[in-house]
Amino acid sequence: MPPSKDLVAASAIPLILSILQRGDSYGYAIIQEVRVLSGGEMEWADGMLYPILHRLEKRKLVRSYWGAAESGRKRKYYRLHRAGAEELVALRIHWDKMHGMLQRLEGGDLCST
Amino acid sequence: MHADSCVGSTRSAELRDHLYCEVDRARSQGLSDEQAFAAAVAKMGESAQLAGEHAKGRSVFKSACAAAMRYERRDWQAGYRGPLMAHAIIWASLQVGVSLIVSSSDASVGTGLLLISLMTAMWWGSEQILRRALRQGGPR
Repeated sequence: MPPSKDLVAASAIPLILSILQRGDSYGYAIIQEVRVLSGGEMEWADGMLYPILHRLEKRKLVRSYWGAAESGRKRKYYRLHRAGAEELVALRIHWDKMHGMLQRLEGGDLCST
Repeated sequence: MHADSCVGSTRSAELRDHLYCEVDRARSQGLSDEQAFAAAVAKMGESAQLAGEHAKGRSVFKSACAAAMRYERRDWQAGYRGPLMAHAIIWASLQVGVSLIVSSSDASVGTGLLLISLMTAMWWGSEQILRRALRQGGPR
């Protein structure tokens, strides 16, 4: 079952930051990487990624620069900023907590301390 | 994308690169150039949806600029470019002429500013009248 729209939206920023932590990338490649990582289950609408990237840039979590594609075409690349790496650490903690909570619920050990 | 006219072409260049990547991918799957382009455009999403996403987080200035561009584009696309340009040239010439006359006369700076402000308001008013008249006349 593909993830809900809400879940896709909520996971977008940690996914983008995680991908950029592995190295500089650009919009199209990020979308392809998410598609591959999710086994084809997570489909981002192509045009929707860029506003998120621009917002991350505005928040100084990532920075962009222009480079050239193999074809010589002008291409905008994104790089993770230090603040972005810190934000990613915080986001991972939140996601781990959520994951832990769900696992505890599934295991039924709610009363354990 | 309309708003990009206000802030430069960087965002549209980025989307264009994305579009070409998608076209290349579709071509590699055996689609013709036309089919590949149509598929890539469809994949980018509805233009209204895209505009909505891009509008999020836009500053007040850029939002106002985007609204002005949409307003302007609507009339230009309707074929009113000629009369609107002619109107703008006439008023701009009048403003320059009046400014030259005022600067060479004994009139005070305040009088000059008042005159220019009045003329700007009249320019704006007459442009609204012209736009309305053109729209009532129907698209060309």
